[in-house]
Amino acid sequence: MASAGSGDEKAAAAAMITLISSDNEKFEVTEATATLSQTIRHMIEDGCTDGGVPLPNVTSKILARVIEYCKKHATAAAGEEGSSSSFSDAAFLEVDRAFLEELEEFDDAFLEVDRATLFDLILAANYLDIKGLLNLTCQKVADSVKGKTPEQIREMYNIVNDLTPEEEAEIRRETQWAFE
Amino acid sequence: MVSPCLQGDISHCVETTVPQVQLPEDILHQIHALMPLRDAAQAACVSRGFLRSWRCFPNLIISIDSLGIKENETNDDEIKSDFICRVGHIIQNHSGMGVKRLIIQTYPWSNIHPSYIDSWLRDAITPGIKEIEISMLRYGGIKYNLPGSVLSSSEIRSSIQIFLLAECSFHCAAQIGCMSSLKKLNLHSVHITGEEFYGFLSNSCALEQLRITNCNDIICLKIPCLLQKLYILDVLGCSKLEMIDSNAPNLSTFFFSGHPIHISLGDALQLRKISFRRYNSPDALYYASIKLPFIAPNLRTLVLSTSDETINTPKAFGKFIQLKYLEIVVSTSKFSQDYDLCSLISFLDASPTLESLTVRIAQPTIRRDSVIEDSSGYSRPQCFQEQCHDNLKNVMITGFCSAKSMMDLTISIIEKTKALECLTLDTTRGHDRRFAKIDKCRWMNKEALAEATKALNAIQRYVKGRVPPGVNLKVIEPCSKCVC
Repeated sequence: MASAGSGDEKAAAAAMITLISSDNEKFEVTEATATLSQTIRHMIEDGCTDGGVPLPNVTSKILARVIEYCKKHATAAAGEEGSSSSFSDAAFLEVDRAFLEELEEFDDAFLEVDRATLFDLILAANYLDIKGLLNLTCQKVADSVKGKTPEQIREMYNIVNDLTPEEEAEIRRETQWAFE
Repeated sequence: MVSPCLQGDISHCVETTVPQVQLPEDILHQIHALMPLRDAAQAACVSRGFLRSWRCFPNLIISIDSLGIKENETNDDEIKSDFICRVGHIIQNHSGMGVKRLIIQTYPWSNIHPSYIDSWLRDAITPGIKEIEISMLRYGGIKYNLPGSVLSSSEIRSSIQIFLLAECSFHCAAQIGCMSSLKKLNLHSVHITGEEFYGFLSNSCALEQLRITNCNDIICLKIPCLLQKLYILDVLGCSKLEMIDSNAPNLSTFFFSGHPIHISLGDALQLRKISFRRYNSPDALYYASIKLPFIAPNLRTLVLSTSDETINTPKAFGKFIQLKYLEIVVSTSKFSQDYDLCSLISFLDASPTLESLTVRIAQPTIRRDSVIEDSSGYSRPQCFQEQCHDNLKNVMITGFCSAKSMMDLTISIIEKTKALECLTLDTTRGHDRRFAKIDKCRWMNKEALAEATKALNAIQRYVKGRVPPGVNLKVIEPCSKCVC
């Protein structure tokens, strides 16, 4: 949950970071959550987070969602020493399975958004340099064009075909195997 | 890094009907790179941006599936040559264009001539490549021997981070020079000797994860102490293996499955997790109880899987002074009926800090000593040890049955565990193991269902009354999904 930054507890304030969205809403998050963003991590390292971190490219609606993602995944990173991508997953499924499943469920639910929001999330993840979120959202788009023809992809994502007919014919010849 | 505004060729489409967010080209590239090969090739026709992206498509994942070839037994040769032709074509078009990830799987053919593979690897493996997977299918076909020339460039060697080989020979391993960035190495059914492998490892000082499966030429697996970063070691099913001798100082996770061998992991003070399985020989629990406390004294997590035990778990052995999570899996239905399940208590006695215990009887087993069928009923034995388990909070037994030694185990836990918060007695094959995505449980036959009824009966008669009021007792019964 994103609380508008009242910042009452001084002791905790040391480890808290205030993020300010483009529409000037303040979100107070822990450093662990914020540093999933490499952009913010660098700002913290450079000591320029006093008075809050303005994020002029991210709206409050999107920032709230990004924070929701970071909170969940920050706990995940702390909980399991980042072992989720290791070979031994199968061996320790017994231990980590429930945990990983929960994270997967969270990600699936998180991606249940309209296309405009998904694009905004991608742009925010790119701007904030949050690798996991960028990968997750890009994968969602990549999955959505599975089995679609070039025409359908153009239509879905409002892309103009700027290839000349000759260029298009040539590339179609080269990738003919993919259309068979 | 940031390109939040409209960019590239696609920007002039703002004047078209619906104003929509456009993704910058670098993100389109990233999305494109996440598509499977065939979709990515099709998408190359979408626009110039995508075509540019296809020219330097980084992930060449090549298999009969990714190329969209249908298996067809009638004209196998024709399909095979089609496959060879397509792969050659794709690789040529991307040669020198920054392939980051090369995966070649030759299934279902075991007779693709090595000269094709050699040329694909030569063309696709160029400096900057991060991940290589070469999976052959050797069954009865041509043996492929990976040529050292593929890795002769130090520029290439220093960019490879992930390397997987399956079903081929790698006899040049010791002659390959320094693999300075290699983090993950996975060999499956690879012909390589222990000495050759040791030579390769000695040149892979950045290695973090090592997995070898079914590499049946290795007799002694020696891991040099140079491997300071190695933290995961998986060794599965290497049938000729007699010894693992690791000196990697920071190993934290060890997964072993195989027949009894000598295991030495150096000091292994960092070792936190072990999964230990034996499929074809008995007494995994016995071995674990007498050896593991000395091999890995600081374990936090231990998963043991046994197919059979010929003797009960002995009482006196070393301690797991930091063990928090213990899971014991009985994996087969041929598990000895004479084994005293209550002797598992020895593990609890050896683990003073244990917080969570799971016992899984994974296959339905009918034991002859059901307390429900015994006319004299069940009476608690007098000889339980006095030792208490102060930290144990969660206990779950799946495949719970009405056998006398199961009752002994359960009641012993209840009596000795003062901090117990939750006791789950699951008479199914594991309610937490059901196939949630397809809404199915692990199947139970008639005998298993009859035993579950007895087990529920036994819980009612002999367990419920002994559970202290503060303990949350969960009893799981079979449901309709367990049957069909």
